[in-house]
Amino acid sequence: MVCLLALALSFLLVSCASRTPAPVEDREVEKRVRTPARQDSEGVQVRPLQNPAVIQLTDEARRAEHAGDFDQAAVLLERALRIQPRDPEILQHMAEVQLSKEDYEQALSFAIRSYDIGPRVGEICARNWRTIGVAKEHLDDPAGAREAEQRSGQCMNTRPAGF
Amino acid sequence: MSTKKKKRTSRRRASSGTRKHKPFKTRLWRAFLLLLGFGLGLLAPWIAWLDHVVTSEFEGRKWDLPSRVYARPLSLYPGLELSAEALEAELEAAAYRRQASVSTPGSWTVSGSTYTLFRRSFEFEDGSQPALRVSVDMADGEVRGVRGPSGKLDLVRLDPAEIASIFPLHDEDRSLVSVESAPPLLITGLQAVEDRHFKNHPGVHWRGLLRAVAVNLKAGKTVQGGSTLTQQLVKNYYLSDERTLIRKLNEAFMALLLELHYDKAEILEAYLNEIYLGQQGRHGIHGFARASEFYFGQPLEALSEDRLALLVGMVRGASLYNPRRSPQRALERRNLVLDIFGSTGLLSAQQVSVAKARPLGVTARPTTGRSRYPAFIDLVRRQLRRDYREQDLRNEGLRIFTTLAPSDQKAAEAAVIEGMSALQSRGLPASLQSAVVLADVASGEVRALVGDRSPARAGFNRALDARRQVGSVIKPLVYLLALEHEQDYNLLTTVLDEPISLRQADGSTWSPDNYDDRSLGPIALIDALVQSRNQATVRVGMNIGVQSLISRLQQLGVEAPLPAVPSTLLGAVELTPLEVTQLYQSIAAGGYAVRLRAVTSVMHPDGDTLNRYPLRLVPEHRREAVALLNYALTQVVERGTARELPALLGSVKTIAGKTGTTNERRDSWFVGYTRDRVAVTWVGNDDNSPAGVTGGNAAMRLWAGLFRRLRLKSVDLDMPEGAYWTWVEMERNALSDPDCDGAVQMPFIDGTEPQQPSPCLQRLDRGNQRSIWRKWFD
Repeated sequence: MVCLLALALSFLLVSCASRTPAPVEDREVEKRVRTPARQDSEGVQVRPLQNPAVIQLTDEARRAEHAGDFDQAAVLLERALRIQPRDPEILQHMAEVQLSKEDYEQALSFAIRSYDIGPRVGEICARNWRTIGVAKEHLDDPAGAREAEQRSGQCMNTRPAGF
Repeated sequence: MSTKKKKRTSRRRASSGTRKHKPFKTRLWRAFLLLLGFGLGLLAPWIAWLDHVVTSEFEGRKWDLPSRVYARPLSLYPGLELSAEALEAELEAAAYRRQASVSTPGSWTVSGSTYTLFRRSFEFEDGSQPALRVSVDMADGEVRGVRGPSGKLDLVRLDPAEIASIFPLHDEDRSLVSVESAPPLLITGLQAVEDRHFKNHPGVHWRGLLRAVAVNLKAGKTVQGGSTLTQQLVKNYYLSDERTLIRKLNEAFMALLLELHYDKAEILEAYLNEIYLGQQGRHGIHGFARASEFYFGQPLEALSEDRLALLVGMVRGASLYNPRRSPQRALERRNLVLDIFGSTGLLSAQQVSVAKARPLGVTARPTTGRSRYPAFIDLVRRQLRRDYREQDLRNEGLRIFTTLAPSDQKAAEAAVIEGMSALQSRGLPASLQSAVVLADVASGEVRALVGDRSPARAGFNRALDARRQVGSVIKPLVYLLALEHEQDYNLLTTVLDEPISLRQADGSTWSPDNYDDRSLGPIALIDALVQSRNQATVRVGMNIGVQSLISRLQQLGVEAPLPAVPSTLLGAVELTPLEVTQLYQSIAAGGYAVRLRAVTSVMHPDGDTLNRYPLRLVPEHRREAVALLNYALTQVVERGTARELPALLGSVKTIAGKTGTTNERRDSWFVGYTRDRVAVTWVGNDDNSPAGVTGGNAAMRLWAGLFRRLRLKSVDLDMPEGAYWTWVEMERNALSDPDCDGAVQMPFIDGTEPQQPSPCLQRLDRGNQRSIWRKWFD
């Protein structure tokens, strides 16, 4: 019994050691996308009502993300997208998970898609452009990254372009 | 040999006990020891050999564990658009049984508009799900609520339908069952009838065996088998049916050895899948899962008690109790087995009498055992072949998760069967063939695939392999390229629908006609597409350049050779229905291309994910132009070559589509999409002979037949950044106002909208200015 316990404990330790996710607040996606977008957008909130099924899946995805299991988070978000393929919030969430997975091309694609069909204003808009900026920076496109930075600032202004 | 010697030895030893002569006894003793040593010397290699035979046989069969292929799991949640019919189709495909009371996993019932079902436990990529009893309220083609034992549920995912088992080694489909997924009554019933001590004996049940020998000796022939399940399994590994003592002993030894190496569950599983239950031509029917399909045309999980009893009864003699050849004998055997089920407490007396009252229920003709979805499984194999070496696929028991939606597949098959017979009754030739591809717009997941007018027929898969000219289906790509040159083209740009002659490489001239042999002269670009004008399209295309069309097609995934000649602009290129679907997926998704997928992930049986095929978006650069094209294609349905579609569908939803017809009416194409589904239908003759079909008279009708069975959602026409809607007067190519007669809303790329105000708008503006002045003065 003791042996088994010790064995179980050692497995736990090993599994902890093998994937210790970075503290959530230190991750790039938190520091450079979510936190600043939240700070910028106080007062300018566009939050559509969400399907409870989608909320369940995105909550699970968020938990997986916190635990550092980005593959699992992506699987769950893909399930959410099957239910609501045109939900800018899920698309942006997926973009951020792709950022954490260091798949910058896909982070860029999902963020653009979210912006295209999203409100193009407020917090989600800021997250869209900040994600685009970070992704472009990693993809060696400093000019694009600067432009995106600028666009994220405009998310809180007046009417967005295209309306 | 050695066993015989040993027998003789022991007999001598037995007889020696009665003699008193010492020298003789000593001699005998010596002889015994000699023979024993000799016997043991042979016995050890003999047993080692038996051990080798039985384990390699067993391992060899285990190696053959097939890859299991699953449909996409159905997720139920409030707000899901799903008809009751579609829900029942999904349950049927997943082998759920309709029962009066829902007490075991895999059963369902309906009362009013509330479905109650018992979900089975299942191991998914993102975790395992326990079995769960849920109620689903349905109304107006929608799930209204889902409840579990502890109240309201936001989301319930059912276990997916198993749609095929792939034996990569033999390239054949075969059905197998695991101990976990086998019906519990099969497991317990089999033991009750064949081997009650299975759980405890070491492979051979000596007392049972001795009793059988005694009974047989008394009767003078073989009456009782006395073999354990393990012995029967061992016996089943050999084809001959000789009944010699040596054979019996070998079997007994091998059974003991098998039990030493493997646990009861492994042995039982091998038994369930190996036991001989019938014959189809040269092929034996092995295993209960295969037998279930062979005799009842149903998956094992769906069998009722009486049918399980028949199969259990047939273990004793598959040809003796063959229900097709000797139905009366089979019925008596089945009822005897049901009595045993009753006397051992596996079934209640009432269940037994209900089951005994049922007919045998065997299908008149055996089913082939191939997948119910041959065309789709073909696509699955091809996608896997891209990533797996044959060697890897031979791995034991991969679990392959696919995108097939069984209810959509059923709709597609029904649409083809019904649609093709309707075309025949309208005078079109009976030789016509057809193909359908249905995919999810945003994810590119293939939901249904039909490759033959008889969808269950395996063989030539037209959805993937019929390479045919596409005709006008290509035109939207020409106009997309034009709209990307926004300085030259918008939807109202005047283009010429007039005869045009082009010199070809071989020196001849090519002068395309319109389908109505008329030329409309100067028309708006959108009308040239909406009315599918050949001459106008060639003029626009020549301005863009054939090469840029070819590059775009290649970029969108077309791998076939594309001739750089003007006739390519009118679709003189050969594509498959799947390739056409790929082209339109990106248009339907507003310029976000994804590769069409049939497989989402592949798991190892131990739970590891071997491969994922995640959603990967490739945004096109000019998504504004795609958005404009989307609108234009809705106009094809509203007022163009597909204007009969809304009536065929009986719907007022906004749908986008394009017809295609080729020279001499050889091919009929229709490509259409809603907000969430894109589908391509094709009709034509396999030998490419004139078929009398046009896009509108054949393929579009099939398409309508499919979408009549699906939930329709209007195409999304929101503009991306860089494009917007404005009011225009088409005839004058001028800006207008909703208050003006003949004003329509149309999308434009920023800065490309008409500059001139229409006379009506000018009048309104003057009026407005006056009123402003008046306000000043009032």
